[in-house]
Amino acid sequence: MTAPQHYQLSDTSYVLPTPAGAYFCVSANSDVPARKVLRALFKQDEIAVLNTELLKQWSGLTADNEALELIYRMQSLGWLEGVQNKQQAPKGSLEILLPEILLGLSESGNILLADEQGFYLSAQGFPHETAEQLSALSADLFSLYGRHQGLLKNNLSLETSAWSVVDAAGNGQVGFWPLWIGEHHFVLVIKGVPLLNKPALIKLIWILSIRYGD
Amino acid sequence: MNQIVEKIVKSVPLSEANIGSIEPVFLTEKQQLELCSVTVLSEHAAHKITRNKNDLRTHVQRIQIFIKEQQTEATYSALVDLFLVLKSNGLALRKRMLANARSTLTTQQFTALKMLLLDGLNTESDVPYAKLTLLTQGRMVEPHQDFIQKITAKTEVAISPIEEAMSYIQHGQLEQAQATLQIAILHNPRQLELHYDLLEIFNKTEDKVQFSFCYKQLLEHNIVLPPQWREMAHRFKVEV
Repeated sequence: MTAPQHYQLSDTSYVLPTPAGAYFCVSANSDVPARKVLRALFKQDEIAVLNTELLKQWSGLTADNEALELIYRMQSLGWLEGVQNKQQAPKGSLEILLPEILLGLSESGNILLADEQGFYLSAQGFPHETAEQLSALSADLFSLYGRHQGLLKNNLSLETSAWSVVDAAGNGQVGFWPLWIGEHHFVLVIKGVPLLNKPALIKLIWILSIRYGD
Repeated sequence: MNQIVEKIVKSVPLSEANIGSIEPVFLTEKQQLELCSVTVLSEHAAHKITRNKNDLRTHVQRIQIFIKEQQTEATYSALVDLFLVLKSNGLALRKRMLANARSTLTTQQFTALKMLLLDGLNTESDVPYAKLTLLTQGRMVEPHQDFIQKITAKTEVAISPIEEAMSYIQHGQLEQAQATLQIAILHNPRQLELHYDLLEIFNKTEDKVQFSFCYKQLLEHNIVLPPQWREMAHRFKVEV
């Protein structure tokens, strides 16, 4: 393989998405090359040492330098980082893993993950009935977003599909974040301050991608 | 507006029901402390900090709320956020806040922050993991490293178009930055970074006229553009 002219990939560093990369990966379903790379990374049981061929295969880009430029850009944006030691996807069933992971994403400890049918996979801090109702609401909001996507995304250029109930200052009191995983989507519901800048987000997206990714 | 609300608040008996319906954004700091629950206060402070991470006053308020409530992890996390913002600056403030929090923190937390007083905290990896920080990157493994490097030839003395454009942007010369990037794309159309930076300028300035002019010019040169151009053209309703 010819060495790239402008970029040099480390052949010893493993590449791991950051919470920012994990969020970008699942916050929309458009097939841009950066998202394709992140999706592919999250489908691995173990993180990989990247090479140009793998990058091109994952991103769908055909030129070496384009693929390397993309990955360099993703590193600059803090979506990917290199680490010395091989990391493995969290092992175990969702039922066992989700409670602890979810608690790492909420300051108040009130959080749930709902599926596209409006049922929750795991809920922390909410009474059962509240969790059920919030999950149903999350499905309604997702459907509402689908109906008004043209307005929100195209006319208003809002790149987010998340919803929130806000106070007078515009601060979210309860937030609903759709997570696009393969052909499925889930909704993360958090009451209070979300902590999506935490390693728990990487773990969540990783286990969901392995279980439900394409 | 604040004065009106203050008058209303003062005229309403402060029963639990009334307190529950009051929005903190309309209250003075004193009223917030009197009327709002700890949860409302801390969440309000958290939102303010995520909007403006350099709001030191709110950092201090948030730390004090958690110290008062003897919340160890929250106090430590709030201190880490303050230390990350200040880096090696604000030594007196960092010292004071750490001293105030001493009885709330664990020995390990206190020692870790104390050791960083002089040099300052630059990355989250320098201290034990803080669960409730707002401003950390949350990387799973520390220390992290770059896995891809940009190779710059030693003989290359001229600065790159992106650096040149950045320099223009820093001086508020957006038109020059835009022109530099556009010319660079004409010479090197496959360098995606140029496209992304130019589109970012149009996105920030919302300059539909300039975008339309530039978009059409690039198309006239038969340059294969990344799909983000078409998306922005659609957004700006630019017809080719």
